[in-house]
Amino acid sequence: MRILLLDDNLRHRRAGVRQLEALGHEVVALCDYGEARERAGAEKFDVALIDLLMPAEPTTLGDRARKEFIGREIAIGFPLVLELSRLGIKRIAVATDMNHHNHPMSAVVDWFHSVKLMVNGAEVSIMHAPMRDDAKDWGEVLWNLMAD
Amino acid sequence: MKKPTLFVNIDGQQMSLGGNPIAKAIGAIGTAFGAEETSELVSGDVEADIAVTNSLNTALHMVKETERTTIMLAFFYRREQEAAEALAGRYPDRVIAVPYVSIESDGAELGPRLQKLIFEKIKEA
Repeated sequence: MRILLLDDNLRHRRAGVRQLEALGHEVVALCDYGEARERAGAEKFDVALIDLLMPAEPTTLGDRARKEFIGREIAIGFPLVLELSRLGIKRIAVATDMNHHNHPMSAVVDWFHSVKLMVNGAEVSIMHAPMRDDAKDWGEVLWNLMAD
Repeated sequence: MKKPTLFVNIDGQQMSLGGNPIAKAIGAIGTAFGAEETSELVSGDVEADIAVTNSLNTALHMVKETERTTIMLAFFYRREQEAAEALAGRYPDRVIAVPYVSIESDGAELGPRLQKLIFEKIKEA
């Protein structure tokens, strides 16, 4: 499968590339959600595995908003599910390593434990990331997403 | 003694007439103070020790592309200063916001700050 992997953390991206390529998949690993959206609109991906919390990018922000938000972690994973599914990716997993005691949007992830959602015709799993060797276990995230 | 590596990415760097003069000047300053200029931020698992950019977006991208690189975000206009300092405040171990020039020469502008950082990197090596 061709997999779009999006995570702002280099350690998690490297682990994901290593794990998923070892499983025989082609991986496009990105750190910018703006670029991920562009690539998803221009290329075909079977699966997207994405982080929940990522630093806000400048996009169209004005000076005041840049000062307020640039680099601040936002729960971009949720709107990305809407957008990537709209762009045609049929399986999407959102996986966060943020402890649910430490961030309100990570706490919300508890709502979706063991739940498979359908969004714009895509199967979606939202989960706390399984960890291996201090990095996200993207292989297991994929396995959970693909499981019936 | 290993020289710290310096990667420079300034908007308009590919402009005609031999490249962006600001980027070339930053590279020359860095080289003069003991750094080695590199054309890549990351090569395999090896990251540049220092990166200089004038773009907020590029600085944020660099934070995500590397784990150890110290990123200097240079600004010229006061309107750029607040956002640059806000980003540096969110990544205090990774990003340094510096003015290209300052009215009061207090060592905080790009040239002296880059020199100081290169010396710090040499000591760490």
